[in-house]
Amino acid sequence: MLGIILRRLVNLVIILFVVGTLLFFIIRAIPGDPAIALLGSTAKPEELEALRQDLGISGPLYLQYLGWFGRVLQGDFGMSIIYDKPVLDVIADHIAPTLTIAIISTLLSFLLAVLITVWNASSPRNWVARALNQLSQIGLALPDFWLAVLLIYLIALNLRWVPTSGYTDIWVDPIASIRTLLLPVAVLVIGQGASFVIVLREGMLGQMSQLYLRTARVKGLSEFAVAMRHALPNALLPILTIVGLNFAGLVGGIVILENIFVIPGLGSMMLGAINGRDFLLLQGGALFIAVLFVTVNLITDLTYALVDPKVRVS
Amino acid sequence: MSRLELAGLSLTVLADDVETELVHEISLSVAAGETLCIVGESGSGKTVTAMSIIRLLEFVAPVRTTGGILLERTDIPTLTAEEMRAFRTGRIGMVFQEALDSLNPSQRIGKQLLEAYSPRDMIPGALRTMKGQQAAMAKATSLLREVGLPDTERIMALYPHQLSGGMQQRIMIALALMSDPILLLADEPTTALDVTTQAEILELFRRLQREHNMSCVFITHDMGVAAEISDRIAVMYGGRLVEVGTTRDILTKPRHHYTRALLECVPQLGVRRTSGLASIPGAVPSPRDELLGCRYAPRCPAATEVCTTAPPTLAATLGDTTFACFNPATRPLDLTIAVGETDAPALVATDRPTLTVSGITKVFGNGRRTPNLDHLRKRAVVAVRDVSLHIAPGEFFGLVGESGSGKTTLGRMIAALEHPSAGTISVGDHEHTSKGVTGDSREFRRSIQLIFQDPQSSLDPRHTVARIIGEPLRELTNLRGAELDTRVASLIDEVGLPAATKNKLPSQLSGGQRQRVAIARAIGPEPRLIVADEPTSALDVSVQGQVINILLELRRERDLSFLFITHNLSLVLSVADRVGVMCKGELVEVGHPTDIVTNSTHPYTRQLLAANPDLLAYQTTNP
Repeated sequence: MLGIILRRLVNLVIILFVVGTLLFFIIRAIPGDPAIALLGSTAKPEELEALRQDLGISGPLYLQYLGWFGRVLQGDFGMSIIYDKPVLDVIADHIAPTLTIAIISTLLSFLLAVLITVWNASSPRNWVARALNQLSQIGLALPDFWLAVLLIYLIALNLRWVPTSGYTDIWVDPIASIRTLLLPVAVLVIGQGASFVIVLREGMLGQMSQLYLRTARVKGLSEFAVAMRHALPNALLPILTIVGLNFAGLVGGIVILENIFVIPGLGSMMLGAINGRDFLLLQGGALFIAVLFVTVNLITDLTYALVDPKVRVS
Repeated sequence: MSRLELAGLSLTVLADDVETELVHEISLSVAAGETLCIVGESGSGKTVTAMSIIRLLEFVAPVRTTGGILLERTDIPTLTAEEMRAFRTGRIGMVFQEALDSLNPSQRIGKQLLEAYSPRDMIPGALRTMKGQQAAMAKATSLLREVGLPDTERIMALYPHQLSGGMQQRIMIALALMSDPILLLADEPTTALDVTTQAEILELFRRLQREHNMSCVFITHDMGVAAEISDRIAVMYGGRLVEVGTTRDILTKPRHHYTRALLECVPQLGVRRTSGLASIPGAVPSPRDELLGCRYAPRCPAATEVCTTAPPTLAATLGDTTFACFNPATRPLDLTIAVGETDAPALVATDRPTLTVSGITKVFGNGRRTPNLDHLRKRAVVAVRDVSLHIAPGEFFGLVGESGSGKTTLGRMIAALEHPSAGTISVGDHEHTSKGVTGDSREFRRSIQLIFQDPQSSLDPRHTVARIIGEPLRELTNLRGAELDTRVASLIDEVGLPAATKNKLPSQLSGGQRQRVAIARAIGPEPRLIVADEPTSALDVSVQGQVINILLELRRERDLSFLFITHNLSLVLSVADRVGVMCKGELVEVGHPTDIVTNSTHPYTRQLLAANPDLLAYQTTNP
């Protein structure tokens, strides 16, 4: 077990190095000079050069690269231009909303998917269960930005149950927070939940024809117990990777939804950094998301080792 | 008073809007403490009959049951699904063939055992209480001891895949007994096991059944197993019951021609049949085939006109035996069909054997250490250890051993599918060593061809028979176009398949036909040696003979050598020229079959011989 973690940590360092390097050069390929973006096109060349020096973006590219990497290794990601704060602080400011939404919607989607599939497996002739199952196809097909606008129109503007946008921290004012989170989470749960249902149902169907379920039935278990106790744990294994990747994807990529709902999360931050040519923030943010992906993957793999006896006891 | 009574049981399954009758009007009874063996080949309906007693079919397919299934006066088909669920546990236990697959892979053994505890007088939900858990635990512990797994605590903490096949089946038996059933159903519980393990499990069955006074319905295709375990035998064919009687009567004085033929097909220990095994021509009819008369009539040597126009009914005769036949057999079973047959002349020792294997060893897992990561070090397993043998031209060499003995690995190395870790394999001018095949590897492949165990999965399901047979010809020979087609057609003919087979897909063929296709594919490039790995173990006995006979005939006609790998001792001893016994990677004994049977000195060979279910011994001692 410890060996697996060690090996994966070594992998993690290699991946981050590669990702960091790629990011650095790709971002430098974006046209536009941050110094000009910051000071305006009327600024004097000396002022621009001085700012470039400050930002660590003057001189030959390879020196910039080495300098940046050297500082990153020491934990210094530089200063964000648009926020005028250290990059790590800016990321810390924006992580909470994104993480809150990602965790809540992933958990809800997962629970919903488990409920629908177990219900379907244990009472295959129940029409409500079947309808829910079919709806997941539609849920997968709806684009999230469209759904977001639709929900805002129906629930926020027409019914006036919740505000159209904004974000309140869940630890500050839970009630207000839930009101603001409701719509973005609903949009994500519909899309994510649908894809979980489809994958999980596939897994469940595969398990339902397994011979150990015949044994479970010989024991006289109810169909619900057969599905819940025996089929589900085995069907869950393959879905773990998908849940993990989905979660990491949410953290790095709900740009559109954050924009629609005006949520000050990582997506909004990254978008701002691109528009403002805030190279250091962009690099730091992207690297952070990469770390997140790799870590979530590592956690998923470790979960496999915990849940799957064939991996654990070998 | 019988404990279980099937009264005119018929089963119809609905698939794709077509109703198919799988089982037709079966009437049987099993007394308390009695073991009834249902014997039959694939498609006979023996498994669905057992499944319908415990009503497991309805979970996998829409079935309609007519007739009665009475277990101690309860008519099982009339129960609702919910009533059946409660009735099933505590009265009926079941043991399946696939023990590993029948256990939940992600639950510990203990948990799975405890879950099965629900004696008839238990209050629902009692298992969740402390007392219920303790009672279940005590039951599980005592049962594990009974089935021969005294290390109960350790076993309960394990997962199914950590146990050997024999242990898994012991767990399944303990599981079936958790609620003290009055009826135990066993569906081929020993078929997937090695002979020595099979002997132990059969012994365990007998003991437990006696001690717990259970009635037992034991399904098997193996007459030898039936001889060892049963009190009475019911023979099924094509969804019909054809003959029922005491074990002794059925095995020694069968009246139905199918029962007779089935018994004659079984290779017998010590009976040499080098000119060919007995087999039943044709194949079992599909349940969808509409036959007016007896379903066995198309294959029956004694069939008369009446047999094809009206179905025979089960009729009692003298004694206990009942059978469904218009022209029952009267002459006693000929037990010594091939005894006295002169053996093929001993092979002349040649200077140039087809195959010479000298000192080959195969080690899996290189034992290499990854720096600092001890857990990644693979444990080296020696699959084959220093094996030497030679096979003469035209020799039929049988290789027997239990699972894990290395026989398949040896075969794969000889066929150059796997490189040996050490040693040399020579075929003609070609050598195969740890460095690979010397010289023209295509020429090497041409001289050795393979036939695998499972023709279902070893033939590409999307290729036609002509393409399957033609493929190695195209790869290894210069035949093209019309020449190739002619060759394929003649190969199809040579293995006894109709010419129209060439456009069929493997799924449209029966198991025996598929294996004929595999044989045609193997002989196509005109090899000098064929490595056949368990080519008949997925086939019914009546068809096994057909396939073996083709192999024997090919050997005579083409001077072809065979390395015939099998776990079936009786089979290989009756047809092979020489037999090698493998045990734990080593070739422990090589000899003439007669010598092996009578004078083997190796303890492992003796053990194998003792464990082999011996039908002939039963028949000769119970005339």
